[in-house]
Amino acid sequence: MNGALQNSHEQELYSTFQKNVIELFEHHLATGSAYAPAATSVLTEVIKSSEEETVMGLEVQLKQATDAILKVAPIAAFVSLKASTELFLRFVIRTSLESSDFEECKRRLIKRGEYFRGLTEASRDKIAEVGERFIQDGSVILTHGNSRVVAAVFERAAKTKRFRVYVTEGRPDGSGYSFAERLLSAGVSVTIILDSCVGFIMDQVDLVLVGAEGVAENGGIINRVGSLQVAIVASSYNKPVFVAVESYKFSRIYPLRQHDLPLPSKYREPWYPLLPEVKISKDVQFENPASDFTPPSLISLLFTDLGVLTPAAVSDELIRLYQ
Amino acid sequence: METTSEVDNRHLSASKKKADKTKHTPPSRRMQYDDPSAVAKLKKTQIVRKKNAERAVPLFSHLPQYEQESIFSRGFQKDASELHPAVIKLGLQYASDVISGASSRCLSLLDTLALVIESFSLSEYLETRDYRRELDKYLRRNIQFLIDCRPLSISMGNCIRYIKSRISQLSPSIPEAENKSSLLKTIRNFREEKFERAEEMIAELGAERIRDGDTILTLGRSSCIEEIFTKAKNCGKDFHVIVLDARPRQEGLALCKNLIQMGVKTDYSSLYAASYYMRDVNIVLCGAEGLMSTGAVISGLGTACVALVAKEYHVPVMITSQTIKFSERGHLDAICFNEIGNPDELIGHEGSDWFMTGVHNEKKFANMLKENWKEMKNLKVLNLYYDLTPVEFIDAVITEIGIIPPSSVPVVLREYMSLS
Repeated sequence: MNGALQNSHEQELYSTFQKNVIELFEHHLATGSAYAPAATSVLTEVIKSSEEETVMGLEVQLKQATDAILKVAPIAAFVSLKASTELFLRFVIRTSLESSDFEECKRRLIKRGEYFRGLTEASRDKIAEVGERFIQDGSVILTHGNSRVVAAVFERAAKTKRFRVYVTEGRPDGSGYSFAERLLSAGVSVTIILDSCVGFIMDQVDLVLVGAEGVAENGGIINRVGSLQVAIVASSYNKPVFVAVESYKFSRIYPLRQHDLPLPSKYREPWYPLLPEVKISKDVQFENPASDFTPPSLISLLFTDLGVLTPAAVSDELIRLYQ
Repeated sequence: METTSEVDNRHLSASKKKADKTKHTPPSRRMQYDDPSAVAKLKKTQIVRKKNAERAVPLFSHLPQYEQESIFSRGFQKDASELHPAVIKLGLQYASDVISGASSRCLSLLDTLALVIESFSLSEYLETRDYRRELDKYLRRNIQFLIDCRPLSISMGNCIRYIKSRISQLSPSIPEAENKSSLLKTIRNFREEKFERAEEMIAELGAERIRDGDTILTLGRSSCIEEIFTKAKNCGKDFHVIVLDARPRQEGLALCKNLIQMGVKTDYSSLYAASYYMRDVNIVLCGAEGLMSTGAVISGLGTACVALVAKEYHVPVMITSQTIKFSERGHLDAICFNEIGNPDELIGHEGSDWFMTGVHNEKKFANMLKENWKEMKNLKVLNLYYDLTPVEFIDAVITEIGIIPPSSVPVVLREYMSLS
């Protein structure tokens, strides 16, 4: 009886803890932070306010916080959040191995968390800097999805060069429209095409540049559904496919098939047609995966804050980080 | 260890000779079998007498040829009294294929070397001598005997290299007994870390990749893959295994037997059926003999063939391998490094009778072949053990440190091996 009471008390503590974490996370997002840096800030703050006195206890608490964050993670950010929180936990374990004094360890962790956050925030500029060089005057570029890093690369390149960008419409939510709007305001000439028009347009394209939700250990990327198709068409035309992505999205996952993606079951959002006036029988089934996996063989280079990497180099970085 | 590393870089032989003449550079430890002076030197170090091969296949004449006669009937060309009894026993087990799997060969080698180190004592020699040096010399002779019995595998070479480096790190100022016990302890730890725990870890990682309803194709038998299947079955996964097998060794039969006992749905077929089965397969799992620094895999004969078919059908190929099998060498083919088995296994195989029934003349020919193939001057028989699968045919390598792409072999060598 007593045990059950204690259990329910713990349960309550746990749920308020999770609620606080989620609130904090959403607050960070509201101030315009990207998902992964927001999660890092939350975890650092969890360490700051933690009353645990052992590394083990702290680890458990951080894991609970991670679970809470992942619960509210939108599909597009799931892989990157998973990767960056995992990496953060890895840092915690590493630091605890380095120093035996807990207080000292905690101080270092907070410092490291803040440093990590600084890194993740600065990474977009770095990527824009290395990626911009691949865009030449007069280039025709195809992009798919709505990535802030890709936009940063284009915005930076637009300051000194003139080029044309084809943006896919991005069904079902039409994210390409807002992306096109953003590029237009940066002075880039934009053309929106249907997702199914990629093959038609490919022979005019010089290079393909996409973002990524996550990067797998073998250098393949997980990104908005359709990226795989774009990469396949590009590789059959021998056009280079570049990926602009922050290194905190590198993850120790190793998908070999589309079904291997480590996404929660909710990743198949309810399908909604862009054309609401179309009437379809209810018996027709819809399938709408949010993301797909593009294998490393279809990717030419990755623009990251660590520099320009080949897909094979992702694993090198990961092995070094997780050793 | 020397024997396995001699074979590559044939084109270097000319420049090496030049280097040998100028005394400043130490002579390279790498020799090749097709360099006559190197072969002569190699023959000198051998303990067991070798006969000249009668029927070497041209491209493979640089490899140690299979010896039909047993070690004792050939006799020793050097004093063999220093050989440890456990080493002689192990050598005979290697030569007669009693111990033949890549992992079991390695484990038995570590156990035997531990015995040898335990029984070695300086007091038999002069006590003033350096323990490290004498132990190294003593080990080298014993290992040479093992090499004479059967060439070392890549992982065995790595194990020996590790033990030797540990011996050279011992301190001469510490009493012999302490050195010995610390050495034995490192070997025990090494064995546990690189084999026992590694295999568990690989089984876990591999079993995670198997989903309900998967069809997995494998070739021959690998202890790691068997562990993966056992683990997946114990986790309650429902999967289907296709075991392909090839003559003459037919190791897949043993795997098949164990799978059936576990209650796994199993198909057993010949390697020739690879293209038929491949359309239904989700994953191809294969074992390995060694991984090159280029990411290429040296594995049982037929693996390259299966990987090729799998690639054509877009089926992912996963290789299981402990990191101890990673090698710094970078072979481009399976000619430089390989092993030649008993040609009689191929020719005199019972299985060849069935498809010849009714064709009287051919059956007679097969029987005749079995008896006197050695007299037929224009026939050469090659029983090769390994082939090489290029890196682009492999999607992932399951190791104890995680699932990695084959292109990461040099990184693992750099990051992990420098520590040990």
